[in-house]
Amino acid sequence: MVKKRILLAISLLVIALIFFYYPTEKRKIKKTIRELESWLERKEDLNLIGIAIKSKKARDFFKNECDINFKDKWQRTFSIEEIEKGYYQIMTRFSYLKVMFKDLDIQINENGTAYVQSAILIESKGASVEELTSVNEVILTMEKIEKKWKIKELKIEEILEK
Amino acid sequence: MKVEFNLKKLIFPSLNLFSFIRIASVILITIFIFTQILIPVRLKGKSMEPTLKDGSFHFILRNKFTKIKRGDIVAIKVVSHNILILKRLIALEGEIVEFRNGKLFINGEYYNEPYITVDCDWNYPPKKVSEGKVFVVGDNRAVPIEMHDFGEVQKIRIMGKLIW
Repeated sequence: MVKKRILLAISLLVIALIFFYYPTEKRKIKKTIRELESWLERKEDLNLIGIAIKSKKARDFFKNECDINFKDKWQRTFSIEEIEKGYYQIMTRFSYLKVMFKDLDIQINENGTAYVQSAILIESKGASVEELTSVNEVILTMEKIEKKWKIKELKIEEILEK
Repeated sequence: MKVEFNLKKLIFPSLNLFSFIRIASVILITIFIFTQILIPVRLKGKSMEPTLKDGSFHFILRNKFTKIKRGDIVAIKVVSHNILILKRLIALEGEIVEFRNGKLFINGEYYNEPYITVDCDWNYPPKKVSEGKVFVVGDNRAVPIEMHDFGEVQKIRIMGKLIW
């Protein structure tokens, strides 16, 4: 009886380890999104050099060219250098910024593209602006490049149209 | 007939098939109520202040069980019902909405909003609410108009109205 229980516990442990070391593609995407959240976070103690260093990590999340569509009002293809520069400019505008991706809905197509639909919660505090919270819908199109999922297209959907 | 009061038995009743069925029924009914009828929400943000405070807890009654009208606080879904936006519905489809010095006008007529207790200087040109949409806005009009999230929203995104 005791042996059976030990065997059962070992089997469960092995399954958990396999699950942990060989995650599914969906779990890999979720992990990338969590890393993206922490990249987009601006803590109050982060200085300009820290922001400049962090901006270089854009290459971990974005393809060399990325399409950004903002509520169908404007759309442009940004190079990775432009994303790094934009990241620096945005981060210096806030004293605190936190972006959270909630309700992730991930669909992987046969052609190797993944569509991620999510709600993004943005908490921010600017130098001259009061604390703000906003919610938007975002659709990411991701592609797997050198074993890493990277954003190819980013679309922010309009929920409330002024 | 003698009835004995046994506190221990009342708190820890003996488990038999009937008690398991009772527990299962309570769980199922609770799940049904809190997924199909009511949606419990915790508010984050200040756009509905002073009516609803940041961090307060509320219940949304799904629109299958209620009729939504002007003045109701509605819950707007983003992707699913896990993240909702709470705003006040002020205009229906086809109506013309406008703000003049903070005062709301619907189809050119002044509309009294007793829930607004702060000074407001908003100016918003007349806009006809598109088909299939309604117009929503937060109660915190102390925020400058440029920084306040409001406007037209698709009716299909509305999950229900705030009842508590």
